[in-house]
Amino acid sequence: MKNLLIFMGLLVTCSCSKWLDEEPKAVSEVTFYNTEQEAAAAVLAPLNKFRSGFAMSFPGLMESFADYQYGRGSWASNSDYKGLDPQNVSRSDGIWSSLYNAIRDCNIAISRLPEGSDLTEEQKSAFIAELRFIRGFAYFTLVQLWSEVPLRTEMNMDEWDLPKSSLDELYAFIVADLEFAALHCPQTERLIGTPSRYAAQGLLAQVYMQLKNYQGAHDLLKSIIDSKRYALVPVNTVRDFEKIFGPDVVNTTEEVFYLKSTHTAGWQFVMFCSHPNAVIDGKKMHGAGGWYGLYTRTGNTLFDEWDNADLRKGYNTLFLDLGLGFDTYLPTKFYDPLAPSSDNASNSNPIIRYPDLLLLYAESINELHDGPTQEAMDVLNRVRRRGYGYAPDQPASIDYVLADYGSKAQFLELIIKEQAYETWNEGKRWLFLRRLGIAAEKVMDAKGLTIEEKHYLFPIPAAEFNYNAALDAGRDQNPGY
Amino acid sequence: MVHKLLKKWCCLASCLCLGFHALGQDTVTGRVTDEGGTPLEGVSVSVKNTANSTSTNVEGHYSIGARQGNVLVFGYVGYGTQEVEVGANLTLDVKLVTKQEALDEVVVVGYGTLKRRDVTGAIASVSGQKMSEYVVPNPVQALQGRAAGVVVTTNSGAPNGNFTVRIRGSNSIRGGNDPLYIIDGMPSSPSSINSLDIESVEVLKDASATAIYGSRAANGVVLITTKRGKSGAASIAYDVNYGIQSQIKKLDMMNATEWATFYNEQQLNDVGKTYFTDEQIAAMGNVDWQSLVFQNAPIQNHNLMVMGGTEKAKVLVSGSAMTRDGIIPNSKYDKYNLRSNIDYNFNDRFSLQLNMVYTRTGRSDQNSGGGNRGGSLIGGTLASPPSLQPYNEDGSYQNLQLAYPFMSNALLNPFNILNETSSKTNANLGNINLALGYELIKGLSLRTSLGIENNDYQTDYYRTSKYLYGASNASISNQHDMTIVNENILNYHMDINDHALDAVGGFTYQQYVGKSSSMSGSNFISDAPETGQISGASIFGIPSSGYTKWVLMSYLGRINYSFKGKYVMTVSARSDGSSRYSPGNKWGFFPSAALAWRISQERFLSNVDWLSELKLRAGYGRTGSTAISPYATLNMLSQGKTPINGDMGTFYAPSTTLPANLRWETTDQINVGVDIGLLTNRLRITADYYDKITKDLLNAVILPPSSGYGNTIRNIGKMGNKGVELMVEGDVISNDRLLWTLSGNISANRNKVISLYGGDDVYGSNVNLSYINDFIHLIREGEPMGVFFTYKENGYTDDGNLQYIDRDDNGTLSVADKMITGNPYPDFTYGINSDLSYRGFDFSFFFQGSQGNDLFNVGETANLDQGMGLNLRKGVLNSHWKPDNSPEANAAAKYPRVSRSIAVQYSDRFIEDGSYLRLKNISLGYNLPLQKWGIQWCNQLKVYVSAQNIWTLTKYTGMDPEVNSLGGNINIGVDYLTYPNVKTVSFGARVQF
Repeated sequence: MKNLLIFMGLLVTCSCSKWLDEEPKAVSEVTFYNTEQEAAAAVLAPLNKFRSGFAMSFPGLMESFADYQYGRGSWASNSDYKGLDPQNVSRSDGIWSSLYNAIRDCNIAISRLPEGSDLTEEQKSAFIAELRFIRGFAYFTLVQLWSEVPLRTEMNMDEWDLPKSSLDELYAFIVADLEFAALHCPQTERLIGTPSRYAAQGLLAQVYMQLKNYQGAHDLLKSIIDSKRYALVPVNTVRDFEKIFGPDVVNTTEEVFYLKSTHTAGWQFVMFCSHPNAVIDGKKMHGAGGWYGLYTRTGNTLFDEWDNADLRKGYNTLFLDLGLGFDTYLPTKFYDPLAPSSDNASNSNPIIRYPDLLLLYAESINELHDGPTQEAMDVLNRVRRRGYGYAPDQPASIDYVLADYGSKAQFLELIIKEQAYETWNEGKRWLFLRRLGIAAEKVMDAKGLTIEEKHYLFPIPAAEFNYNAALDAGRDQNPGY
Repeated sequence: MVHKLLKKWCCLASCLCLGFHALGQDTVTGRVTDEGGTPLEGVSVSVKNTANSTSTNVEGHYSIGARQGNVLVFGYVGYGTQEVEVGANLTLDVKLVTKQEALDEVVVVGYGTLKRRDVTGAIASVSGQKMSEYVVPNPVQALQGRAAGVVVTTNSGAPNGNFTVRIRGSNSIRGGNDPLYIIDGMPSSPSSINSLDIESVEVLKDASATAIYGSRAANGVVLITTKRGKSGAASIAYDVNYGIQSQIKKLDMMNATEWATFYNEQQLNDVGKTYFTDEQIAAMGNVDWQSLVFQNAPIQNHNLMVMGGTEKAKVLVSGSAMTRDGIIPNSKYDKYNLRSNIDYNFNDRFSLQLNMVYTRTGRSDQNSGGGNRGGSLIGGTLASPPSLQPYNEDGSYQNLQLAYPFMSNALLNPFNILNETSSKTNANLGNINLALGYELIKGLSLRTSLGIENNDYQTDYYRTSKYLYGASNASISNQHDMTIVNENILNYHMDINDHALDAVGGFTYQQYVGKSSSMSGSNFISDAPETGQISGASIFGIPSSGYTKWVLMSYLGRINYSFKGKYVMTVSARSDGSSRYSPGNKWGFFPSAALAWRISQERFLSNVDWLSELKLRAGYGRTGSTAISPYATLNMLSQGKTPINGDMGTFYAPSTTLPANLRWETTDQINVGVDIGLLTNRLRITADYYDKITKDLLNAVILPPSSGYGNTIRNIGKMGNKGVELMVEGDVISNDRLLWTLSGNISANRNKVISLYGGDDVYGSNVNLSYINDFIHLIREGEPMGVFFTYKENGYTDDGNLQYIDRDDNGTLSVADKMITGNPYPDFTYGINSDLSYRGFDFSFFFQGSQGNDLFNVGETANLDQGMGLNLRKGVLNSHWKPDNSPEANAAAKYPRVSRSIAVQYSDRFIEDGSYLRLKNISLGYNLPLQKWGIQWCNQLKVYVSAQNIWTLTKYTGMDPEVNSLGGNINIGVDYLTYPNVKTVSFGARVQF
């Protein structure tokens, strides 16, 4: 009996320790980032982070600020140009969080991939280049919206208390990331939605324009255009634009870098633009209704001046009475009649589109030569012809003539107008006007409103001041907040 | 005429029965009462040294086969046993006498039982009769107000029961604060137990009682023991109950005329002209949305229990069915139970206990609450304008968002949600517990048990194509849990002269494996199959699955020693190993020690007649809390899907929490208590004082958003709880005809956070209403956990807007201007119970209350969001700032100037006193005098009416003061549009054969 008890006791203690080991049926960080598939999965992680916060709030706010559109409901105060009210501050906070979450995922992968056991040096560079593109894009957006922000890289991931960096440091970092991406990203994108070398060059050109490095921008843009990698999609009728922006489009020759969507995981901004009663081409604008948060109206000079023959006007706007007491027009560039719910419209978010690069190229020439050249005018006309339904490469009756718009200022005005009509509702207008320093003037022209100084930058989130000991609300917050 | 015939027949039958007995032997009958003459039911009567036994009925009568010269043994809880010899007269009435020591009442403690006089810890007992006094969906809810130190708060009124249980306060920030539930020795969830199966509940409160449960005992232990068969005649009992539930209180929302008048004023202030004309206002109907949505609903319960047995085998079988409809249509909770408890003695040494339970629950949820601007079912019910109908003229649902241009685009039509969405959860819960006991030598026995619990849940969610706010959608999720518990316990008992020793030691192993899976699809062509054909979807969601396993191994031991029945000492120790912690930190050690001194046994008190019991207790112990989820110390990557290349691609990304080396949270507790019995225990008082400190609290260190992480977790932090508990119970009147027992308990707990990481404040989660997105609760050193931390209003500005105190005077409103404005914890909680029985009538009532706790009324913030066309409370129209008011009238106005740009923040405006006193149960019953009518075949027929939550005293202006919309942990005390609580009126009957 006694022996039996001792034996049982020993038996129990011996097998004990193994029983307490954990064997989860999931993946841990230590064993990841080694093979090609794992690196590809690592690139998708930061792309996913843009979907919450950034994907809806960024175009929503940018379009509420544009000189041609107005926000409705809780977005209405944005179009008063008095800075963000608390409800909209929570939206800008959401953009901050999703950008930094993407940056974190990039940082972790960038720090782990160099030790990947199953990757060649070339593959490592290629994946790291894709990640640096994404990180560069995230920081470029942060810097444009908030100016000075904390610079978190793969070297200081554990330092929670990070002070703001200067604009120079930030831009130097962004340029370094994008230059690496421009050299090492795959020539053609690995998957539709991952960055290619041209996408990196295009984004770098945009950064150069921001920094007023017109030569650098011009050279990059020229090489992209000359490569004939991209081309404008020709259209004949208003509905043909669906081939570019519609929900069934997977890829076009205009796509440089888009944030992709499917019906399983889509773009909430489309729901934001839609109205339950809006009907396009006999079908509902959005399968799940709509929140109709944006509109334009008669009385806005930029809209009123828009030529009815421009097919883009008919495609991008739709008259719908919203009960506000004046004629209102919904932004209908993006619509998805089959979207099953608010977050599932499958239109992709066109972050960088070929016409953006064309217009930027024309602008760079304008700056470098202190006035347009024929080449610049040709580029502008190509975009314009396509907008009116003509073949982009053939002269058309509506072309601008160089002789009529020979000065730098006049040509710039043409570009400014064309940019509005071409990138209507894509969330690019406000930053474009601000870059050129003409926001106040254009908003006054189109809407008759003045812009308060604090409206130019977003406030740094309160959570940042609460938990980051290196930031102080009194000293580091953007002016006016 | 019929009555006479019936009587004659009954007499004849009973004569025959008696005659049967007389064939074999004589019959002895009689009545057993206590000293006061009150009849005692259930007294066991047996013929000494035979297997012949019976028990007394409700009138105290018994009848047993015996003859002159036999010795009858009478035994009853609290009276010990008494032997009486049968004389020539075969009628034997017996008066049982309470003995001083008949606190030989047996109390269930961890891993064994002790006599009440030997208990050194703080243990509260609640009888099974009290647990089943009124119908509750989850038996633990019946503990509310019954035991000092146990605070049960209702989180929401959903039919399946949603509540928080705290024993002596909350110990942990991140870990659970729920007590450990042990059912018949096996750790389990009590939610599906049939209340009428419960024999008794013991709540172990202090460390010397709970330390034997080690690492899960820091929050107290609730031991539930179910009824078992008894030897003797078989008995069958049937209970039935039927009641109607209704909403306790409706909110005073505006009617159509008031609503239109109000929005005219708002439009005039903000836009420059009114919107509604007088003709339009006159033509509006009035729709009372609350009355349409919250309707009276029935609840019923049926229970059948059969038990009986012999010396060798005892069996109990019970089956019950409870169906409870919710006051929101299409919500309900059904519970079906089947149980059999078997005891079998193979011989003097070897015994077996087998419990088998099967439960099936079915739930239909309509819990959509919270949200903002009417964006949920409950929110929409309150916020929908009274001028709008739920349906259009053609019968389709009206999309309320489009009714007016200023209408909020978040407002949902409640009927669209009620009728076109359904969420049903069905569960099969099976539990088998087998224990074998073997007596090795005299006094030393071994008990080995194996418990298996297998739970399966399936939730079917379907949204039809008539849903206005999205396409048709189906989802199915499954959860499968399997728990295996094996316990091997040695028990040694020795009783020599003045020494009594009770020792327990053993080893236990527990394992949990949980698996889950889910799938979803949307855009169905037909709604008919609901979730039955998910392959018919046009668009598929991403399916998911999960797996969790954890293991707990323990060694435990306890020695209870008493000397002369006067001095008692208990020492216990437990060593727990858990798989959740990092290697090197997996084991924890939890000891305890306690002493008790029964002063009333000392010679110097033996002459004090009125003092029947005086016992002092003191104990100290350490318990632990597991507090982290499995795999939390491993650096796991979470997986997801994102669109790429026209399809969905898989990504892996780190989670938002940075993991680190973690270990147990431990709680050290001191308890000092006294038990007093006066006047032969007619008055019983128990009082306890306790002080406990929890160390190595797991604390989230929140990281700034620029880090990309939400937080990291560290073992830093300390929390303390101290308090007093008092329980008083007395038999006020106890005689032949009238029995009146009164009992009450009161307890006060003070919670304090002692230290946090870096001394930094930790903020509660943000409550995002879109017009406010801020946190409400604070965890700060020196304050209770989860105090309200908000701005403080400072009157109105010159143009009638809200303004707040700017503490640091810097012109902007930030966290530095917030202050502690309320405390969600009560000053004290109490319960008062009265039971009166007189000549077959039973009358009882039960009050329960909480005093001094504050509530944060998030729903009230909607009254300051004036621009979205939503319905608001009448007070907003009747009492607000107006430019042409006098300054005094404006200063006294409850609400600011009507406008869509009110500067509303979370402030002390929304904090209210949530104290309440509630009549939880009142019931009147009548036991038909079957004995008098000579009916022998039926032992008891009782009918009764009762009401629950029928009367409430409170100052709270929200729907109900019993609410915890965001749970009972850090975000405690928030009222945020949850399923309303109900009051019930019911009647029922009990018949026993």
